[in-house]
Amino acid sequence: MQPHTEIDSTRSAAIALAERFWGWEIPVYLFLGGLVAGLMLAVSAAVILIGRDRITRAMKLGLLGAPVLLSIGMGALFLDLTYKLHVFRFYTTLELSAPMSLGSWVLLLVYPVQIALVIAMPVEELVPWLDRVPAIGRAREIAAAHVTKLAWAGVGLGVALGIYTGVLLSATVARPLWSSGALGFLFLASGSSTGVAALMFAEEDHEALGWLGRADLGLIAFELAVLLLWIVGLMTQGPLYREAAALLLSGPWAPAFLGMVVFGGLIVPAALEGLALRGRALHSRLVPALVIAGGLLLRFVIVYAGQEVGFVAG
Amino acid sequence: MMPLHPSTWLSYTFAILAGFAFGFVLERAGFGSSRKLAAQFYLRDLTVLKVMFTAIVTAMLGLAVLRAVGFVDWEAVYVNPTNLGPQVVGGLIFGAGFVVGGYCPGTCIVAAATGKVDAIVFLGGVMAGILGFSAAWPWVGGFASSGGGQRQFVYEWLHLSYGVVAILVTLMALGMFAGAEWIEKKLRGGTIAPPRADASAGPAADAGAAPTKA
Amino acid sequence: MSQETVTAEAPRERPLWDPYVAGFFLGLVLLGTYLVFGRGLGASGALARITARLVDVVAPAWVEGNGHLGGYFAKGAKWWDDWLVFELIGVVLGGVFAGLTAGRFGWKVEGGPRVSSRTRLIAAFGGGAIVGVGARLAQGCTSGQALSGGATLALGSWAFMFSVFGGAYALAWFVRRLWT
Repeated sequence: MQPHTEIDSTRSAAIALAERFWGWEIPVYLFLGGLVAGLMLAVSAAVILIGRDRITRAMKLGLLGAPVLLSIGMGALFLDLTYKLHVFRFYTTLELSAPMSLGSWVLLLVYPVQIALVIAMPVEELVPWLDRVPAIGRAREIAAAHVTKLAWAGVGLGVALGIYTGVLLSATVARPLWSSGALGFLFLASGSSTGVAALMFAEEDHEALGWLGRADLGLIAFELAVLLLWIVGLMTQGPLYREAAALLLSGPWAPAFLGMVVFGGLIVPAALEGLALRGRALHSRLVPALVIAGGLLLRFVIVYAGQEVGFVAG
Repeated sequence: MMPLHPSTWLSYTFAILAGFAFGFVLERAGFGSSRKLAAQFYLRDLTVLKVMFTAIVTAMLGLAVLRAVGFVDWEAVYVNPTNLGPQVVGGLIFGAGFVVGGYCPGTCIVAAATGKVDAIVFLGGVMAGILGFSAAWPWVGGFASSGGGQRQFVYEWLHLSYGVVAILVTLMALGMFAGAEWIEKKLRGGTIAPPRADASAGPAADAGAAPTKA
Repeated sequence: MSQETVTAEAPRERPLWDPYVAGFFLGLVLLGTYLVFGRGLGASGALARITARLVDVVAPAWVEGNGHLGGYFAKGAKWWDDWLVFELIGVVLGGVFAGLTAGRFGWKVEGGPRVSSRTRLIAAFGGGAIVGVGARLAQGCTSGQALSGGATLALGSWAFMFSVFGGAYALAWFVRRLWT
């Protein structure tokens, strides 16, 4: 037997093993975690920047949706029982390593702050339901009185949750594609842009649509810059990192990464958004839908492609 | 030496960009509208003929010149195989469907991408047709696979040189353009039907808005 | 913040390109794909693969054993593994981009002045089905056969193109109620 075929078979066996490692659940969890972080961050920032009186119905719906989406994401994590061992590893790592204990603190604080934000600024339909319970009525008054502080907490936790979804990968398993500090900022940027896009999808108010459009444009520009830094970082780090980057730039993941995520999910919607803000294109829900789809695909590409190149062959 | 033939994955990546340009130009040509496409078959608006033959002549002349100067490896260029029987019968069926449905597969994608509900329904029809054809494969497969699938050219069939046929096709296209302009001038104003009053939705119509007529 | 740019109503619909200009650019795109990829544009091939994939959800045994579509699921084959599938994604993006930037975007049923939306949609579905059959029989459509094959002077593509116009003009008079 020729030596290179042996190496090949070992390598493909390693890939086959790696491919079974994490399925669709992890990317969906990371996507929803980022989306929730973005929703929280965007609405909290809006409270601080434009005042609670100008929070629109879509933003309130976003606040209400955040804990629901986060729970669905957590559900995805537990869903497949065959991966229970990995979930277990997930949480043991969560307690042991330093960045992960940050993560568990973040998750612990996110829910109460989200619920406080919801009862401080509920959508109209929710108000009669909340008023039925006197205790909630009192909590509402307290939350409403401290809404700016809650908003600052929302900003902080949004940033932390967004970064955590990126750090999670590098901290749990060592893979060339994931071992970059840029990943946390990349997932934060992507989470924020998808969060703002989700608000744009539901927004009816023209003025708010303008702010959200500008914010989304800025976030997409930031995301593209971080993507570039991440890739350049990988290219200059060594052969294994270059191999990992090549998967995305010229390998099997290039059509999905460059064609669909970068072009279809960032550049095209950003161009349409920019033109719409200048009155040179129609506003359409298809634009934020592209951003959201691109964000979801980005998580799949990074999680799946990342598993294809490890530090040790076999 | 062209074609470049990038690796499979790069080729798929750039396919998205090529498709983007294709879709963009089709929309700008007005091919996202079934009324405009169908008007071709009632001689009211011959845009389809003009766009199509200008495109064919442009690409054909480009290929001919680049091939003549040795820039293009003609053998490395994919040429649709010739199966005259299935292509003639398929073409007749296709044309019949085109005039009834108002789109062809490429234009219906562009029309659907700009919100035309009839294009989305047409697309469903195309898929149903493909499915029906596949279900009938045991009976139609023999005829569909007939014809030899040779790499065969119009210039071989005419026993003329490549260059001569390219010039003839260009002259034919120019003649057709002149004819098209004459017909359009002749019929202008007269019999073209006005657009249906309720056919256009407001400009602010959006993903959430209901179809104008449903 | 300048609100007039945001609240400004949708831009005016931009005029279509002149047919010869549009045709020239379409020809350049086509020439470009021949020079870069060594092949032309297309649409129906990708639709066949997507159809096969959708049917595979409900009737995997049937589609994988089908003489026409089964090859997409053979060992080592992937249903999406075709240049046209990726090109089609681009066509959708390009269509959305062009429609929105030209102010020609809106959910509507478009048809002749004398038919109801219901009739139009039935005709669209029926016509689509006929087109689907014709495209599979001819192994291509107006993009993949007539346009792309036409530019290479492929004999069968020219035969297909004239057949399409022949079939359409032959039937046009009988279905004139749909369009005029």
